[in-house]
Amino acid sequence: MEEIEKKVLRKVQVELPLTEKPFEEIGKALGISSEEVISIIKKSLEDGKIRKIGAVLNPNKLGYETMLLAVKVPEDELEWVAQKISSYHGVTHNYLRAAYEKNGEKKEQNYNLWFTLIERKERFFDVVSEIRKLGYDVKMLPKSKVFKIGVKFDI
Amino acid sequence: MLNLIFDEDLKLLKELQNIPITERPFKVIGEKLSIPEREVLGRARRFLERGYIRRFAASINHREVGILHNAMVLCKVRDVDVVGEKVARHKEVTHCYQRDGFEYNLFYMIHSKKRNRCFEMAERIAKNCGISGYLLLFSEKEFKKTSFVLGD
Repeated sequence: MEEIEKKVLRKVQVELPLTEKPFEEIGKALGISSEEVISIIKKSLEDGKIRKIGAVLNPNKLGYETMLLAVKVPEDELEWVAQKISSYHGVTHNYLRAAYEKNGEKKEQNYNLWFTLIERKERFFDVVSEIRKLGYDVKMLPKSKVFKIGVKFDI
Repeated sequence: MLNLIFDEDLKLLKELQNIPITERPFKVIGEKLSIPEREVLGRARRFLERGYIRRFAASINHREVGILHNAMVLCKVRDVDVVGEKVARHKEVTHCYQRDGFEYNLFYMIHSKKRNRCFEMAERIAKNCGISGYLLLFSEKEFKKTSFVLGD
């Protein structure tokens, strides 16, 4: 990645100004034209470095429940179960995770499939029940306090 | 409080999630919805104030920029309010939450280009914040990763 591309990504991941010409403003701050900013962003969207650009919504303020859930799935059934869970529109992240101690040793852990579900409040627990019908141990991990949400990567 | 949001606001929120990459994106959105550009911007700012919009920015696909490893760190801590605040102050921590009903009560996320770096970061954070018991859960396989998008 070129340095200027990195600079643009570093900047737009934090904040896009809510002004008439947001890309011009970003360009001014970096010493390049708005056309250059636009072309870098378009390229980054095409090659997948940027997923989307715009408003990052707060689902909890819009009538949605959000939660982290963990499932215990035998390894040979993992692929099928993971795909089944991913097929729900409200499932935004779904990972196979393995646990390690601080010394780097792998630790046997009950739950191996970790996913986040964002669903309308009135439907949320119906979806969880549906997923539970798959027959696995599904653990809900509601958050009781948010200390930080602010995805800013070291690009 | 979805019932307090008007349909028109919802339409605008949907458009604002993914803005056109052009000189005047809010003018283009306004034309689509028959709203003047200034009003689009005014309402977008109000959505931010009310917290419907968390931030206005690009969502980065961290794998595509070479940040291949992410670890969810699970900690057992006593004074979760104090420790949580301390953990959150580290710039490499992207998310930090208290979660109840599990043997671990503080969860945070770190990302890095190298897997080893995640161990180093977690150990440094543990020392800085007085965390003795913790586990790193590395993502071994990504089955899905999308942004939350308001549907129709």
